[in-house]
Amino acid sequence: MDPILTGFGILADPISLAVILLGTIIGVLVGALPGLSSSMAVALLLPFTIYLEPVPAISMLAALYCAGTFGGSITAVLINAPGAPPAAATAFDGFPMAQRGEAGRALGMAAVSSVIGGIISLLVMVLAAPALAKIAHSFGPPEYFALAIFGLSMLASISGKSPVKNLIGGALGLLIATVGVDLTTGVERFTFDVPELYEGISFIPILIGLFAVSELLSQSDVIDQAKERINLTAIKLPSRDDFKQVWKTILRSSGIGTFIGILPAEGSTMAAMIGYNEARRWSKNGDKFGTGEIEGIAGPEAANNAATGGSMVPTLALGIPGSATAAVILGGLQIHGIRPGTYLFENQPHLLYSIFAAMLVANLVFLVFGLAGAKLFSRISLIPRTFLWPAVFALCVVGAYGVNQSLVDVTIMLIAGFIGFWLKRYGFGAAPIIMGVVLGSLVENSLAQSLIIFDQDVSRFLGRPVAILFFVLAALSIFYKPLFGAVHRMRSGPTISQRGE
Amino acid sequence: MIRHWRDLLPGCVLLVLAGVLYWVTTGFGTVPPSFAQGMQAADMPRLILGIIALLSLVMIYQGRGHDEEAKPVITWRMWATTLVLLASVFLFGVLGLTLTTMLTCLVIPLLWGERRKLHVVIYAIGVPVCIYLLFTHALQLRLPQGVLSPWLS
Repeated sequence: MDPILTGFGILADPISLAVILLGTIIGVLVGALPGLSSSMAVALLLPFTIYLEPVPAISMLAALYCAGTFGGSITAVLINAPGAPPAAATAFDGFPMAQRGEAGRALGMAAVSSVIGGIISLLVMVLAAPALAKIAHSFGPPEYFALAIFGLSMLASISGKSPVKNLIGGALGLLIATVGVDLTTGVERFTFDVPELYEGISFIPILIGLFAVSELLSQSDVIDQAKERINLTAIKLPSRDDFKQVWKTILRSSGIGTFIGILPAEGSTMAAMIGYNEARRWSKNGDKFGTGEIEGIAGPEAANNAATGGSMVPTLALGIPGSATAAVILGGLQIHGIRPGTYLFENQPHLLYSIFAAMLVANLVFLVFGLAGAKLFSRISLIPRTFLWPAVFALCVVGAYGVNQSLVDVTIMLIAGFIGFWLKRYGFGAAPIIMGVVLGSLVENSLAQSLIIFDQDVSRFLGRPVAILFFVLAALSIFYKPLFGAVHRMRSGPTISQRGE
Repeated sequence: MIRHWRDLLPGCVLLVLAGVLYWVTTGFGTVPPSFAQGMQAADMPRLILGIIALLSLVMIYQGRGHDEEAKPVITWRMWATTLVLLASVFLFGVLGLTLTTMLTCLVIPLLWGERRKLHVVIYAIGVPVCIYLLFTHALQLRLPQGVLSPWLS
């Protein structure tokens, strides 16, 4: 009981409560601003949390993550421009509803579905994370190596055009993590005689560069478009009839979102898309989806917010991020000297409950703030990019500089931004690179330790059933698409060849 | 011909990068196996570079017969913004963060086509002042102030 009370004690501390509320408001705001994502906001805020105690710092980031996922739905409904990718599916039915004068009802449903999805996933988080950590207690380096490989292999199936490009991104991240003096041998790697690189490339400048500076460069060529903005008269909470219609959808999507979130690397965007598709598949009015169907809002909104709690499960229990934003939060844990996994649950069990409390508060607060302030947030989303992005750049510089008080970090941020811009142009996302950077040391250290245990005999991995299980899952996540594609082609071969596909 | 190899350019760049970095790893020092604890310093980077090269080949192969996807046109604004950002990094050391932020907040909006000049000027003064007050006074973060150091600390 003690860890629970200690964890929830964060809500009794005015400063901690204030930073959680601040994180929630920033989250909704950032989520509502097209182009700014919750990953980017967490990355930008991370350097400033260094000045906070670890528990409120991580709680603030977690609250921002929750609120940012919801914030995107405001602009998705009101101006048909999802503030963040997870809200893209919400726009399919949210905007048509707004067009026919039901913006308040759509936003009310989005908020309530998000809160229910978020709270269900938090309950799963608080139950599943310690259990998973307990299982991981028996893991040795070979199992952790296999688990990290499984986590990276899941990059093949995250949203993006090309699984291979996601995997290349992950490998590039791993390569970045090798820069610096190798702690085992003392040998310099890719330091090019720059003393600031001896300790490796700082995580934060890379993060800010890849997420924020690359987006700034993309925004420089964006042509301003006049958006049709629906006037919001009043927010309407879902009626009893609405609830009757959507409760099954909300529960189903919450389950889907939590499960997708728990899978390493899979985030809210995929959860929302699957949530939407499943809502359509199971709905009696599936054919009306896309024309302003209330279930088309409840499905993706419950799923995308449920993915936030779900993604914290592997992040806290195993040190394997459940999503891109969770990867950034994992970086935050590392910066604050918190080691996820069994160690965390044995030595700082209250942290889990603090994060639970923070995310719970975030869910309840964004229900109030999000609804009461929807009108304001939708106006803020119309800030011209010409004024938004220079201020973001200033924050980027302060954030990159602030951690080590080093201008080299600012230079690294810019280089990461330029590289990120070109990679994005050719279909490589920032998230896989971040996942690679975060998992880099785990992959290398666990492999090296495994080789010592196995006396350099790699075949002895075969004697570790859990490691084999993770390797098989990794192989499946990489090859399931080509395998299923081949099977499908074999089954319907003549038809396909006739079509010339 | 090249147009029908969708990812040929990024694939080739990655292959060259992998080759060059592999060559760089040949310059890494080695230690006796007993100190290396399972892996020499160059082993992991080489393994990763090998994987990048392999995946790049797969990517190039998958792109055969597919046209290059249409990408947004890069205009002079992107290049000019890049130059402004590069220049700002060099200026941080000399002018300090507040003055450099002021300049970037002045130049970028104008570069991106903002016509409300008075708004831009107010913005260019307001943002650095807010950042200075927030970070230097509220969060006690020491930011480099360059030529303004005697007055702003």
